[in-house]
Amino acid sequence: MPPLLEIDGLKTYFDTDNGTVKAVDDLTLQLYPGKTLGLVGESGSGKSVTSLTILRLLPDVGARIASGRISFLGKDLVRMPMQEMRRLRGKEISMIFQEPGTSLNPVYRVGDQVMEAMLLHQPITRAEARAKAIDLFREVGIPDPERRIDSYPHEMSGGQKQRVMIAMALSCSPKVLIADEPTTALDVTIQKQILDLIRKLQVERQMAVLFITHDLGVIAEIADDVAVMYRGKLVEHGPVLDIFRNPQHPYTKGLLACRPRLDAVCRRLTTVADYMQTEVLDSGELVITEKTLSPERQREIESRGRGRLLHPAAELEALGYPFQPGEHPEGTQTVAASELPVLTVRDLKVHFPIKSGLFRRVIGHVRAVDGVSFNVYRGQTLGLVGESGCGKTTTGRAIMRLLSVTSGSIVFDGDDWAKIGGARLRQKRRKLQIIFQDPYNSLNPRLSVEEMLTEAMQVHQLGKNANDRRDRAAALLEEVGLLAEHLRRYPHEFSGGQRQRIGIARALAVEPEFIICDESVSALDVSVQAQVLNLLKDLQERRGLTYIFISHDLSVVKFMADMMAVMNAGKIVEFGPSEQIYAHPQEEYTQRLIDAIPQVSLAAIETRQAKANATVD
Amino acid sequence: MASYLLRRLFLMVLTMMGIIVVSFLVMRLAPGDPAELKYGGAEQAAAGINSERGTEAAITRFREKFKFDQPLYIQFGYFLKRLATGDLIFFQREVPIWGELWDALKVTMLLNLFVFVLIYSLSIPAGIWSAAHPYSRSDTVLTITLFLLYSLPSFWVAELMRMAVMSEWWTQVGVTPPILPILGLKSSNYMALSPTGRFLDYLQHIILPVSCMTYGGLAYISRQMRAGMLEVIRQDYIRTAEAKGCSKTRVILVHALRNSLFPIITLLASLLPFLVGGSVIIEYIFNIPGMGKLSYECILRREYDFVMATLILSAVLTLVGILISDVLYVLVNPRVSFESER
Repeated sequence: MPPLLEIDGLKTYFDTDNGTVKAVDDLTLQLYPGKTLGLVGESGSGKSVTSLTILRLLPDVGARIASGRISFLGKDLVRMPMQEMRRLRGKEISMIFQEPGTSLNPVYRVGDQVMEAMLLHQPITRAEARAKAIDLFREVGIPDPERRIDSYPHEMSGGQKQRVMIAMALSCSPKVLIADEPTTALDVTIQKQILDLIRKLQVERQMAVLFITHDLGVIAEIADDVAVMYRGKLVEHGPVLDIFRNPQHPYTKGLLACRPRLDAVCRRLTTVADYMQTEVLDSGELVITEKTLSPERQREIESRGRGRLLHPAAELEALGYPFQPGEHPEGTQTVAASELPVLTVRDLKVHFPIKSGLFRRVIGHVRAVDGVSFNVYRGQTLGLVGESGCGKTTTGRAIMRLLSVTSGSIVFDGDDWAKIGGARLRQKRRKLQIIFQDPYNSLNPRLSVEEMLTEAMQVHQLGKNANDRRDRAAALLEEVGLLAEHLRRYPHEFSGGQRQRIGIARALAVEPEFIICDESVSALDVSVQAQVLNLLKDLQERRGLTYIFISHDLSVVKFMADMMAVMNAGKIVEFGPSEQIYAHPQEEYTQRLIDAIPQVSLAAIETRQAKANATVD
Repeated sequence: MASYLLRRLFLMVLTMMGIIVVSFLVMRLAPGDPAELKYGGAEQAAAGINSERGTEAAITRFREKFKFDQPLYIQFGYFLKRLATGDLIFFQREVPIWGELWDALKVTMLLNLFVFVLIYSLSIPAGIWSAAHPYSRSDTVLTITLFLLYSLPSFWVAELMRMAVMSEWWTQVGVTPPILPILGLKSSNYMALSPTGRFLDYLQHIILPVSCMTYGGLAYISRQMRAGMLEVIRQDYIRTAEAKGCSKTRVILVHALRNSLFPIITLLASLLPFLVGGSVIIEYIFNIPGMGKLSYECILRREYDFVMATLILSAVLTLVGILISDVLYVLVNPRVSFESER
């Protein structure tokens, strides 16, 4: 079968003030009808630039296609006049993007946005387009399509918006679908639904799909062939089973290893850096040296650090998980019976009033958190896991006193949050810090790293003088894996992972005892996520920190947490040691969270492929 | 929406009361009163036009009649009573203000209507053009020109324009200066003209003042439009529209324009009061009998009633302008609703 789309020796360069950046450097790939090619790489690897180059959506200023051909049905897209290119876009080749929240125009109804593509490319009337759009909505699984077609984007959930994007992309029955990280911004449960949908549509419509992601787990769920990109270059390319069975390039090996695995118990994750070393020569050339990682060495890395630290035996028994040493991984301990919890949350409720009418009467409440109770002991990590809207973030904010509590009590370090104020509250607050999700928006762009770190110290009167505080800040940066000379830099000079390290350093600057990590790794690439997770664990052991770790991804929570609370609709539906919750989930909801996590096993890939082939036949 | 409007109207009434009290007090901070100016003013004394001038008795009688000798709260009550009955007057001549107010208002509103229409119909396309071709030569030229205009004081430009139309140079090309009328709004033969002729005569007269009043706002609003548009063009949904196969024109006019109008709508609120305010300087220079000129003269003459009436009028228009722009904002932006404050 001839390829539908052929990329041949593509070079896309960006001209910046600091010279030319080779975003895509000599890339050759083919897309075949009815096949999905997974394009994997971390941020900055050139995978998204590749997709934008195919549709010629690169920014007007600075970007240029230096050489290469992209041939589609015998025509070269690189040299095609823009007029002709526009006739292809959305009709023959269409695209879905990472952020469904911002990719739809907020001021137009979703139905009109889907119909627009049809009206642009096909000789049909508005009424016909509307009927087709309703059919498409039904096909992509939007309930009540006749009504939802007239919704505005903000009235839909993230998953539904991504379904609208898919409906829009499919509206003219394209031959090629480019999906650029379509599930990265979504919860794992929604990710699974969207992956299932794309897979189903791809088989039914026999499209060629270019699926771009940073996560090999997602690739295992969807791709037939895999291309791995690293710093603009293609480093590995082959059928999906070969890549997972026998990865050749050290970067691929590293990527495969750094995702927290559900089936194995490990205390630390191996990272890409354990598999390879990179060096940039004076000529600007990148040299990758493979490091051999023996199984013994890998085991050694994975067993560094402490084992699980569970609640006191009596409490475990009361929770329905009596402690039997044999059943737990090696090194699992329980908190001494005499110890008191550092944080006790009792029957916590946070309700937001809904007001309406002339006198703004309260007509109801959103029960964001509805009767949540748990203990956290010193040195433990409690995982809070659930889908968006389950109340996990609100719980974290209530503990931080960032919003007012409707009822219930929060006792932190012996003090009832509701009863203390003034100096005592300030002093206690220092001990409790938070690390946010978005490393891009949670750092003030106008403050240098030094100002950010020393400001909090100054507020809490830590450090003798400005010099002392600067020394402390430098030491902190080194502790989180950055360099002391980064002190004078500003947030925009750092990558996402580095920014999250700065966020961690900022939380540590006031020497807290308790840190709430609110989706702190969800916005990061898997390879960077592994490094940050390891860092958080190292810091916990070195400084004796206590964590509440909030995430929608059960595999990450299981890796991090000693005890796990599964939340749904403002309530804790399951609470216990994280290994046991994973191994024997009692609730269907928990099972759903577990099932949603992409499976990186050869057997799973084979089953999927067999199923797909059966559908085609 | 009805309950939202009712609530807003109720708040507007409260705000108005506050504005009336504050402006009443502020005006009384200035020394002098109408009586003094009518009977004791140095000008009248010298001119000797008034038979009762300078007499203490006349001043006292006048003050008693209009309660200027009473404590402020009584005066305020008296003012409110006259405001309620529509009995506001020019104190010095003891005639109602309404006739002259209405005449001046008509002049200013009509003039400003031209200015507004010009500002918006020129600056929105200019802003869109600039944003669609950012940093191109045309954008750079437009940017520099507009910044130059924005920085020029209008009284200076007005003088230059007058000098230009009156220049003797015109005789060399066979035209007698002034080539455009430079004073007032009507030619001396206005009454003899046909309706079309009257309109053309009016247009000729307003060319200079309207140009002086337009260019500043033009520069400001088109810059706002350009900035708003550039912000919107960087959004993800613009890329989606391009990926769909929309032409550049369609992307700009359909997908970007509506989103970039929000800041312009907010500006509308601040413009409404200018509709009745008029420009003191421009009206003086071109001798236009509008609100700016009349208000200024009334402030000097301590015609409290007239000044209060114009202040209340522009306060009401400000509040109405804010309400209108809030309502418009909800209408163009589906993400905002009347009930959204939770």
